[in-house]
Amino acid sequence: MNEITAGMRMDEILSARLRALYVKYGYRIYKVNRFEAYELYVQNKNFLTDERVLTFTDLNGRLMALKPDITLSVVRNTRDEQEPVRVCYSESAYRVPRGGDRFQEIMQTGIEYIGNCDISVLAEILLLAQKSLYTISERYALDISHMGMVQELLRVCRIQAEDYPEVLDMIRRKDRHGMQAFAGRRDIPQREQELLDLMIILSGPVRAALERLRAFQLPESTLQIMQELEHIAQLSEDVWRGTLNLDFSVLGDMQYYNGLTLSGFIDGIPSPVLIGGQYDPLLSRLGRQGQGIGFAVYLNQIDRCAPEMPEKEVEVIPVGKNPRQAFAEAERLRETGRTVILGEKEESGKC
Amino acid sequence: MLRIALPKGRLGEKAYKALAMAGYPCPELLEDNRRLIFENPDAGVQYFLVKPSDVSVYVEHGAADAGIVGKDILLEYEPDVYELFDLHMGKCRMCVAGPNAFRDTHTRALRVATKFPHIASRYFEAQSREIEIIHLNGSIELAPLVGLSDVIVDIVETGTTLRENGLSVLETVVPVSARFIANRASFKFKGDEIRHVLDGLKHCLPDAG
Repeated sequence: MNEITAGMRMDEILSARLRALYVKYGYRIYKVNRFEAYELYVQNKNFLTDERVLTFTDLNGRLMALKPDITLSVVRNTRDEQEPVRVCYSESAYRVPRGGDRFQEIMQTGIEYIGNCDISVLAEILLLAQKSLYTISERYALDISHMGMVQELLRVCRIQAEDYPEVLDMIRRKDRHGMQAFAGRRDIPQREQELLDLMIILSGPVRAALERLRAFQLPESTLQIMQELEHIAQLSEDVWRGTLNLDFSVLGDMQYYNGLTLSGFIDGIPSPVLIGGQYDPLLSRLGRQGQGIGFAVYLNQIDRCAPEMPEKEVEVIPVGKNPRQAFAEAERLRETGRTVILGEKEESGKC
Repeated sequence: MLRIALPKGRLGEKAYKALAMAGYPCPELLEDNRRLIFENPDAGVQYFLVKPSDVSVYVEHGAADAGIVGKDILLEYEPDVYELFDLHMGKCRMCVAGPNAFRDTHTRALRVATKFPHIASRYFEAQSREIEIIHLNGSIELAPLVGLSDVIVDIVETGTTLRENGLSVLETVVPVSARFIANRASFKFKGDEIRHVLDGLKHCLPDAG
């Protein structure tokens, strides 16, 4: 621990390390306002994990919100440029966590890329996601999925658009028996039922998982996405030892996400610590051109797996009858890196 | 070591017996004592006995890797967990019930007494029926008898309690049975162990699934 990190909490240290990682990849540090016009969130409430937002009326009468999400603010406040926009941030978001009953300040560090999302960009995002998780712990897992592919597979299985919410929810929960009952109700043919079942149970290394899907007769457009996904995983795996898992339970809202989705886990933390995805439809809803992808790392539960910060030895210099000498002595010791306070009698302890 | 949360009571005992047959025994669990944690290191399992409605809380928050919980609890609290297997145990129905002579006149908001406000709200919302929820914690059947509510939304197993109180089932909301659930992160790091339990359960309960 160096002189600067000695004064930081573990989440702050990790946040600084993550930003340093992102900067190496050309992401510039970006600061968003703590407040944003409420209308931004009302118009995009499905993008949020919980639609409840902390609001207040500004002095000009405008309804404002403490931002419940960072991506929306970044997308709204950056401009279309010739070159891709690459920004990283460490910000607090204010929202009710899933299943919670009160607002929390949630610290998140993440990146947003707005520009052409070709295979190399997507592979680099996956690489950064893995390196982000590795920064927190060697015991991590990164699951990916692809909303475009999920949509294609649902079409192959003859799922009607009005059934998408129910079917996606069952895939998200890996509710196999629920899906069987649904397929029975909708008279879905046997082979398509098997594909739906595979979408639920599939969870494993990308190439092996795609191989299982290829046993089904899939349209060219689906095979093309699968091939892209394989290339992306290959590029990332060529330079990083981690394994990427394909798992369709990693889902985003179809109104906002259309491509790759990510969900990262750390052993010992019960919920995902990294969440992200490609959100071209969100850009379009906010009147922006092109494509965008990003992820956020949630550091609010990091204490569950991080080593405890060592307590610091504290020395007490008695002020006594000669404060000048005590002041000077304390200062001299601090210059050597020790932690010193002035007190009544000489002793040492921890803080 | 796989940590499994079991609901206290009859369902928990039944589920434990299936788990023991599946290769995860811990005989002390059936002894007459007040312990809450039971462990069998040889089988690699630790059981927690918790209030049925708390099983999903233990699993969602990662204190348990897996658990056995009723579908009613999953529908009411919508925990963010994997719902991996229907054990076809503890089968019952979530129903709307009311006095035998009850007819909904649609002239005002329907007063609904229930332990399951979320399930009740969603059910009537889907029918565009305006309701007033009266949240109770027990003896739900009493509410329409003393004029506290028009109807109730509750679990019905045999219907005996309803019949003995002059009530009958008006509509079935959803069938309910026990589910084997798992924490999302545990599924990543203890996936093989969880799948092993699942395979054992499928083998012991061939009619479930």
